Amino acid sequence: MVTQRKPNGKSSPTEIQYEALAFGACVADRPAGILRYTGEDALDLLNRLSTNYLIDLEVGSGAETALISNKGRIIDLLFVLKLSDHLLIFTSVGNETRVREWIEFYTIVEAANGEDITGQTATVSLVGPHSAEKLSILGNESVTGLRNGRSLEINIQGSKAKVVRRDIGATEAFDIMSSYSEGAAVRSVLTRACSVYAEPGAFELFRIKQGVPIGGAELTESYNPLEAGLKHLINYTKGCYVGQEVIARLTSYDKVQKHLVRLKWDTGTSIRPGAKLMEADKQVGIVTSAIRDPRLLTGHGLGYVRKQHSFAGTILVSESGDHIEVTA
Amino acid sequence: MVSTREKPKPLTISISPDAAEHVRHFASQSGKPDALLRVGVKGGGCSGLTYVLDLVDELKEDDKVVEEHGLKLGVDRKSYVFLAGTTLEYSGGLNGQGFVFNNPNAKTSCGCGTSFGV
Repeated sequence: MVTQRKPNGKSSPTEIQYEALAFGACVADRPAGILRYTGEDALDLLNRLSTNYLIDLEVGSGAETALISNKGRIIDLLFVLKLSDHLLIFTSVGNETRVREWIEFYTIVEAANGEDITGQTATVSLVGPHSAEKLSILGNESVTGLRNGRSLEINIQGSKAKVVRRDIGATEAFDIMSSYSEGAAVRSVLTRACSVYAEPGAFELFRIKQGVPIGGAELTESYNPLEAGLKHLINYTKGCYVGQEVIARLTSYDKVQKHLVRLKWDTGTSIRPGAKLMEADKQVGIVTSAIRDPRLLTGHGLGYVRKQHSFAGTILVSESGDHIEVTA
Repeated sequence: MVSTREKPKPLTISISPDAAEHVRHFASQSGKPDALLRVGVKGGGCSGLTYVLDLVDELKEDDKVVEEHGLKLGVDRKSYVFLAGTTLEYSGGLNGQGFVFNNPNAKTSCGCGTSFGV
């Protein structure tokens, strides 16, 4: 349902799109790189190169995992989907070549072959708590019970597609993948069914308010997965993986120095990524993503803040003296 | 101008007498006294790369073969670049008994010594 909150009663396109993402169902583009891996050692290799436990993945299911350097720094956040005879690896947009090269560097005795299929696959996303209902109405009832990380082969009014549930924060989200030739038809059917398409600005507002980090902004080699709030993607019992020793030490000795937090400020304040967050003339953090919410006339962002300043309700200041609140 | 520098010796992989003896011992214990030793490197481990050590019935066709102290050692061809110059030794130290790769290519290694980075 779309609600209107501004005093004049009119909703901007961004407001309508944000409401659909947060409370309804909305078509969106969620850019990602996609790699296809074959070879009997591919899953084992990824398990040895990243933080999560992937070995027990069933066919049709996937999991997020962090690819990190031997110094524990983030190379990328991956979603690895196991299919009957290959793996699909979703990378951050534009990072697919680097991820492929990274994996290839460590592919020595293993049977694992990667291929970049980003440009060969048409992918559109359906986001919002009523997304499954929309797909169900289009004749795919089985999607209703699909758990996060699982995939299904579906048919969208004559077009074959693969649906992968990849929630965004706590919100239901589905990636619908089809051949390049059927992509336009699939997109058209979904857009008609939802009647709202989220433009990049609305999608970015939604992502930031959900506190979801992305490659290039929050997920870079400047940070480790514990700082980035990805502890739930670290398996502490699976044994060695690249960077494991550093992660184990940071955890055991409680050495994580900063945390990724959500930030909020008055719209009148111009805050951009890279802005320093200060307390008493000392830098205690940095803004990594920033956007204005036209509904509530506030600014929202994500950023890394020193541990002692990372609690909700902490007020920091920008270099120009504007107040910025840590909200979570 | 003639360089007075000694020409670098070709990098190879060697095995210590003690390690060769232990390989024969383990091969005999596992009921395969004629087994050959095959070494390589795979991705993984805290520092990025992990050593692979196997007793096999036969080496692969493109393995680089080294013979020393009566032992035939096969090195995985793709792994060779990471292992050139390495000496395989056997340690009975406090950190546990086992084979140790003395690898000059390793710029970093993890605390337990089972993985390395280049």
